[in-house]
Amino acid sequence: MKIRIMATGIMLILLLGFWGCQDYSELDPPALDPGEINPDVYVAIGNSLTAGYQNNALYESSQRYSFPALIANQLGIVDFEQPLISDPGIGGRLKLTSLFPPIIEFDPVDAGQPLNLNLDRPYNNLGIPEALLFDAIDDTDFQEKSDERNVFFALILRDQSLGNSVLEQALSLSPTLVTLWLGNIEILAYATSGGQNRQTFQAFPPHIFLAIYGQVSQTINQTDANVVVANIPDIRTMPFFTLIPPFVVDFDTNELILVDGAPVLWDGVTSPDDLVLLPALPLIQTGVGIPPVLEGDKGPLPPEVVLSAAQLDMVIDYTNRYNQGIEEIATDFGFALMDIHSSFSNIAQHGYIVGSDTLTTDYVTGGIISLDGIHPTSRGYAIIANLMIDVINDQWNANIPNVSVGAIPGSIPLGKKGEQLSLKELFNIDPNVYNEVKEFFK
Amino acid sequence: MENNFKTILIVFIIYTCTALPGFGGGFQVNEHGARGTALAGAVFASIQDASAIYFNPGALGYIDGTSIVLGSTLIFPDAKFRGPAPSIDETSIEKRMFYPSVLYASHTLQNRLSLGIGVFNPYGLGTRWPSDWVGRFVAIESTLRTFFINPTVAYKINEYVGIGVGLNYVIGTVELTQALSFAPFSGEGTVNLSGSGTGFGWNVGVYLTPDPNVTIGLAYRSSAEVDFEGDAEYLDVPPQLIELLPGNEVSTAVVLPANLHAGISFKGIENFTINFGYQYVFWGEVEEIVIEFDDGEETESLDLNYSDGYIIRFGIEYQVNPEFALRAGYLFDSNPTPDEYLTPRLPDSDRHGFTFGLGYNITETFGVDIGYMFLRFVERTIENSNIEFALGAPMNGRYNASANLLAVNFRFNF
Repeated sequence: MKIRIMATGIMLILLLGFWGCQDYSELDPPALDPGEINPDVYVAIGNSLTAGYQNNALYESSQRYSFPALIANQLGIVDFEQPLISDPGIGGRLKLTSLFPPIIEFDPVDAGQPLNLNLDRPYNNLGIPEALLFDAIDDTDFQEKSDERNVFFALILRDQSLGNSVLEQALSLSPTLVTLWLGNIEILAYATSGGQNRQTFQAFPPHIFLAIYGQVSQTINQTDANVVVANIPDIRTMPFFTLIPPFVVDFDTNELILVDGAPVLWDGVTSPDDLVLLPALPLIQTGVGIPPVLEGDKGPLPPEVVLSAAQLDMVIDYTNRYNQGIEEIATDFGFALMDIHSSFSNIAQHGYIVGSDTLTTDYVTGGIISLDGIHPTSRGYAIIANLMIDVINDQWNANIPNVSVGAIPGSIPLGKKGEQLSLKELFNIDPNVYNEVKEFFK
Repeated sequence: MENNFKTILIVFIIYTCTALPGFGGGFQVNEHGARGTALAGAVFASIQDASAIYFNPGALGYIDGTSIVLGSTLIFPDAKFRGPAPSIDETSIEKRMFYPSVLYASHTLQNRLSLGIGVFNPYGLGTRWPSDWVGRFVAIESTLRTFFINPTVAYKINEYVGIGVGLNYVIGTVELTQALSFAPFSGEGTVNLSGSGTGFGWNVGVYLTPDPNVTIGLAYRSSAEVDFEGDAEYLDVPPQLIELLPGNEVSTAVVLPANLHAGISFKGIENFTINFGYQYVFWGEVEEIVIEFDDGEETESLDLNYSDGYIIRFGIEYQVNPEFALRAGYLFDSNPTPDEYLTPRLPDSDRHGFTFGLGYNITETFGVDIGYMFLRFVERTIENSNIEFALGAPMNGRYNASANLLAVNFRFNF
C-alpha cells in the first residue's frame, strides 16, 4: 500500500520531469513592417559608393557589405544580385602590413575574378565604380566605354541585350524600390586632382547636371517604384582631403613646427584654407614641399596634390548647387531624400556612437573610412544603410530594423609584410599607392 | 586497510583530475552523494554515512565505525541560446558529460571522536559553444574545476548534540576561450586564458536530536578565495597587431562563496523520513573577476554582480525493508545572476529539480545508492544585457537549459 503511494508519487514527479524536458521556447521572428513600400524588387543605381567599393578595390568581402546589400538583407530580400568579384578584387586593394609603424601596400590591380557573370538578368546592384550621372542614361557600347575608362562598365552591364544603359537595365527589372546616388564622381574628379582635372566641371555645370538629374528622375518616376535619392557629401569629411594639415608638422610628434612663434605653410600651399591631399605624403617624405625657411630645397608641392582655397570654394559651390537641385527634384517627384551631406558632416565632427564606443572618420584607425581615404569601410557602409533605412521608415511609415553596425566585421585588410617597403612613419607610404587612388578618379 | 585506502585515494584523484565538474546554481555543484541527490539534497539533518563531511560535519560522530563513500555524478547538461535579438537563430552548447566525484572516509573512535576526510568538487563550470557562433567574442569555452580536500574532526557530545569542524584546501583550474575582433581591421583571432591556483576555507556543523523522531542540522562552509596564475595564449593574431594585445602572463582571483546549510528531518510515520533543507549561498561576495596581465599592467574585469541565492530542498525516503530504500525529492534553486550580466559562459536561471533514487545494502558492510535528478532551468529572456557580442550590440536573447544527472555511489561500513 505504502509502496503504491510512494510509486505514484515518483510517477508524478517523473511526469513533471518530462513536462520540463521539452524546450517550450516559442519565439516569433521580429515583425518587419515595410509600411507603404513594396520590397519585392530593389534596384540600386550609383557609383563606387553604391557598389561597395573600399580600400581602393571592388571585392566580394566588401560587396557583401555594400549599403544596398545590407538594406536588402534588412528587408528580407533573398535574390538581391550583385556583380561579385573574388577577393582581393579589382582596383588594387590597399592593405596594412604594419601598424607600428603603419605601412600600406596594395594587391595587384586585377587580382580578382568575376563570380556572377552569367546571371541571366541585370544585377540589382548597378553601382558602377567611377560612374557619372550621365552614365545612367548613356547607351554607348559598354565594351568601348570599358576600354576607355574602366573594366567595371563591361563587367557590370555586360550585354546590350540586358538593356542599353544603366537605367534601361534597372527598369527592365520592374523595380518596386530604387535608390539613386550619383554626382559624387563629378565632384571628386576635380577635387582629388587638385583642380587639375576640370573635365567633369566643364561638362556638367550645375544646370546641366540637374537637367540630366531631372531626366533620370522622370524616367524612374514612370515606374511605380518608391525612390530614395542621396545627395553629395562634403569632401572635407574624407581623410584624403584632411589628414595633412596646411602647415608643416613634425611627423614624429604630429605638432606644428613654429618659426618665430608662427606655423609655416608647406611650400606650394598659399593659404591656411588650402587642402593638402593624401598623395602629397610620399612627396613630403622626399623633402618636397618643405619651405626654404626650414631649409627645404626640393621645391614646392605640385598643384595636383594641393586643392587651393579658391578651388575648394568651387568644389563647395558645385556640391551645394548640385545638392540644392537634387533636393528640389526629389520634392517635385515625391522621392525621399537621404541628406548624407549633413549626416556625414555631423559624423566627421562628432563620430558615430556604437554602444559605448565611437567610430570616427580618422584615417586607418577611425573605423568608418577605408585606407583609400575616401570610400567607407564595411561599417561605414552599414552606417549609410541605416541612414537610408531611417529615411525609408520616415517617408513611408515603415519599420525596417537598423543594421547592427558593431556586428559588421572590421574591413581594413591586413597583408603579409612585403619586401619592397621599409617605411617607418605613417607618412611614409609607397607613392604608387596614392597614384592608384588618384588614377581611380582621373 | 591503510594501504587499501591510499590506493583508493590515488585512483580517485587520478580519476577526478580528468573529470570536468560542472553545472550548478551559479557555478556551484551541489551533488555530493547519490543519496543526497535522490533526496534533492535535503539531507543536512539526515545523514547515514561519511558524506556528512560535505553536508554537515556535526553528524559525523553518529556514523559508527569506519565509513567510506565513493561515487560520481554523471551530468548531461544542455543549453540553448536564441538570438541575439531580433534574430531567433538557435545555438546549443556542445553535448558533453561531466562527472564530479566524491570520496569520503571517516572513522569514529570509542570516545565518540570522529576523524574524516572528504574530496569533492563543489564549484565547477563547463560550457563550450561552437567556435563560429554569434557569441564567440563573448565566450567559446569556459571551464572551472575545483577540488576540495576537506579533513574533518567531529565529536558527538551526547545523544542530543554533535559538532564538527573541517578545513578545506582548494585546488582549482580555470580555462576561458573567446574570439577576438580586430575591428576596424579585418579578421579575428582567439584568446585562451588558462591558469591554476589554490586557496583555503573552513566549515563547521551542528547536529541536534531533540526528539528520537526529529533531527536538526546546521552547517556553514566559509568562502574560499582561489588565486589563479597562468597564461594568455593568442591564436591567429596578425603580426602587425600583436602590440595591441596585453601580455602573456595572467593572474586572477575567484571567490568561491560561503554557504549556510539548514535542515530538519522527521521520522516515525511508518517507515517514512521526511526531510526539509534550506541552503543560503552568499553569491553576493562574487562581484567581479579581475584578470591581470603582466603584474597588473593591464586588467580586464568580468562583471558578475551576483546577488545572494538560496535553495529550498525537500526529500522523502521510504525504508521498504532494512536492505532497501526508495527516495524522491524536489528542489528550487534561485539563480544569483542579474539579467544585465548573464553570460553564455554560464547560462544560469532559476531551476527546478525533480529527483528519485534508491539505496540497497548488498551486504552488512557494502551498499550502493543511485540517484537521478532532472533539472529544469526556467526559460530566461534577456532584454537589457550589458554583455556585447560585438561593438555596441547587446547579447539579448532567450536562454533555455536543462540537465540530467545520474549519481551512483558505493558505501562501505565496517
